[in-house]
Amino acid sequence: MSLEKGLISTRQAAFMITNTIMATTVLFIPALLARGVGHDAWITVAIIFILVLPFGYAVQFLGLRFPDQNLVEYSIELLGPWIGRGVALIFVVFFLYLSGVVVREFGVFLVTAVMPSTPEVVFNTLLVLLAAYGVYLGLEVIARVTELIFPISLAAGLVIFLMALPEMDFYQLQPVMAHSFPSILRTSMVLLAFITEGIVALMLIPNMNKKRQAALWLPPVVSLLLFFSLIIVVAGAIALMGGHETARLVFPVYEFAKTVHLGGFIERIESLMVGIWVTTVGLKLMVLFYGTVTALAETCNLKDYRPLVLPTGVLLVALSILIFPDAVAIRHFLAHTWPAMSLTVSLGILVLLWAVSLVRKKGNYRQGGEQNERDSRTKD
Amino acid sequence: MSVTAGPKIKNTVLILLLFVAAVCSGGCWDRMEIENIAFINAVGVDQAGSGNVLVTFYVVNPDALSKKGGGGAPPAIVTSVEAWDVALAVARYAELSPRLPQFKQLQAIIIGEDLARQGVGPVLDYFSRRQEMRRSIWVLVAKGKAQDILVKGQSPPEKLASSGIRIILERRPIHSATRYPVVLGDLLSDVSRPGMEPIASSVEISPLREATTGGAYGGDGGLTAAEGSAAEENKVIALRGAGVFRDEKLLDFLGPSETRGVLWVQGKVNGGRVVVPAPGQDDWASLAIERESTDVKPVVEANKIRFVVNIREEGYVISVDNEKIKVGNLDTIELLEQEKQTAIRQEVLGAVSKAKSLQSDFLGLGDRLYRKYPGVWKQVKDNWNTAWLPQVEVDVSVKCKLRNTSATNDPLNAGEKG
Repeated sequence: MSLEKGLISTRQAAFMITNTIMATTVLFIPALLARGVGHDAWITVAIIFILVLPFGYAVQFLGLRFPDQNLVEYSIELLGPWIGRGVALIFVVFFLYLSGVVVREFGVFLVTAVMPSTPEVVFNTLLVLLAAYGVYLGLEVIARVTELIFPISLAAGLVIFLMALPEMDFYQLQPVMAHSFPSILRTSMVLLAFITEGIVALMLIPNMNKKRQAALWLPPVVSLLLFFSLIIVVAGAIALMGGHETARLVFPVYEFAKTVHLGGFIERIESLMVGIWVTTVGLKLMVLFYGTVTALAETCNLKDYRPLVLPTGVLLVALSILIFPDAVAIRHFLAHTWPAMSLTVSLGILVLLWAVSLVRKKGNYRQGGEQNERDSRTKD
Repeated sequence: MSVTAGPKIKNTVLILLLFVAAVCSGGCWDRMEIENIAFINAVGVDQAGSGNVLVTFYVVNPDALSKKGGGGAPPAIVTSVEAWDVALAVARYAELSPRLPQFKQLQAIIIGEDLARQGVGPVLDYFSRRQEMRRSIWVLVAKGKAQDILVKGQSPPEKLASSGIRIILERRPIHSATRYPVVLGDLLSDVSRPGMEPIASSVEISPLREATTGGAYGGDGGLTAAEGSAAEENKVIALRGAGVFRDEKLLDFLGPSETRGVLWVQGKVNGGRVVVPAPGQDDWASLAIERESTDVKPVVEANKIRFVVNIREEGYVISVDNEKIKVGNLDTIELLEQEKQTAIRQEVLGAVSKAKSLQSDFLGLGDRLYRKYPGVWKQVKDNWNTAWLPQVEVDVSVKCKLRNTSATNDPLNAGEKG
């Protein structure tokens, strides 16, 4: 709370967290899931959402135990100045790496789907500049832009889906569970790895204006928003193209927009899809970027995170290019490496911090709530 | 803390923005001026000698299509290039064309018969990989060479043959449902769909004038030219029948009646005409198909797989032969319904027997089995087309309903004059 004084509402927080998880997931996950379990991909979505709610509550209530502190501050409080900073640095690197992956994914999509002759670094640079500007302006600005843009993107995505509906054949979702349950479960870990990116919420919790309300309502709201969006996207892709084709394509969801063909005049609306992608990924990057620089500044005891924004941005552009040799590597990374990495870091550290806070009896959510909020404000 | 930036920061941002502007003003890498684009509206791919393909580009000539000017210029420029594959053919074509070839406006891909028999995989791979392609591009199989269709074929009154093809395939087949419209996306899905073999509408050219329909849907049904047809060069593009595949190789063509048989099984007939009893017999009536729905149920018995096809159809009377068919009578309507049921049943069985003899499940029966009984499918899928499909029994039951007799009751009555 020392670095960022801005406050965000519960709704803004819900949109930010949902958007952070969803933006890249919708584009990449249908193909990854279909590659694992074909037309049963939609079942993995259903399975995951049984796990998301406990994960969400674990994150929220950990935050509530330390209502005025962010992840780095209570890592230090719980684990001591050295180990605590070590854990914080893992998070910094994790968010930085994830940001690099997001920037690269952004560039790859625009290059393969829209502008094949443009060098990827151009898109990456522009996106990072945009995100850096947002991060520079602070959390409240990011929250307000998200509050404005995210519902519009969601509605536009839904409209695209509805317009592609006449081309879909939901018969292709049958037979249910044609693949063995272990293989479905294994594939669903790929999706879970995307969802646990939501751990970035730990950096936002101290800035929420109604922490108790947020802790109770954010997990169900976020998981329902994610569940409906992802089930629509995954089941829709399979109903449109079948399991094999969904797995073969690089961006199956883009085909929704390319398929739309209504009344002979509503067609070629894929630019709308690109617009959604650019805005939502921009916002996602802002949140991750913000998480990276605030965590880093807090770890190093800086008074302001803003001096770190530009250097980190430069690092991000370089990282996004160096991280993968080609687009095939991205897909391979997302299917095989990212689940292990994301689940280890986010779940591992979540469990570690929870365990230590329970053992050392530090932090107490009962003292969170309304009273603490007033305290925190007077402390400012 | 408020977020107002100090003057130093503002300058930094300003300089950055200038830098971005400078980078962008150099122009986008993907910029294309519309005057410099050759819009390929249709493309034909044929087999050529020594493993090459012969690719025919049907490029719109925008000057000829504009209201003023144009004069006698042809509406499209058709160029054929021989090369190792489609990508190289495009490269060769780009060497000849002052305008950049672009597939953004592609309406139809026509695959020549010889190439289709060799396998359409490599061609489809090119078209599914290009980012400017859409899954809604029509795919057709040419009877003969695709080149002939694009060079000689016309589709009056449309100026562009490609537009004609698109318009015909897009509209609801009120008069005739004897083609099988398939878009690129569906064809790609069909290739990999378990228990389903690809099928695509076939296209042919026939002389423009004096074209007459030979027979009804029973026979081969091709357009046949009347004797003494002089219009050798002007030929019309006809879309009827379908080419059926196994995996990605063309096996054979279906006649119009067999094609509609396939459409019945898939519940996709939403128009067309049926003549009962079969033409050539004395009294006949022509009945219209308005709408239908089909339900295919796989039934697994000991060592036997059976499919129950239930078709419910609605239509009306469109024309009758003579006064003997008293359309005004309730009994006659019932009789006509029964005759129509028999006729539709024959069409479906025709398609089924064709599938059995070709050993290709373009009806998607295996697909139905897979969705309902995945366990059974696992056992039979390896030799489904060769061993199981020829053995399956297909029970077809059709329920027809004649809703009305159009504007007239009884037919013209010449017998009871005066």
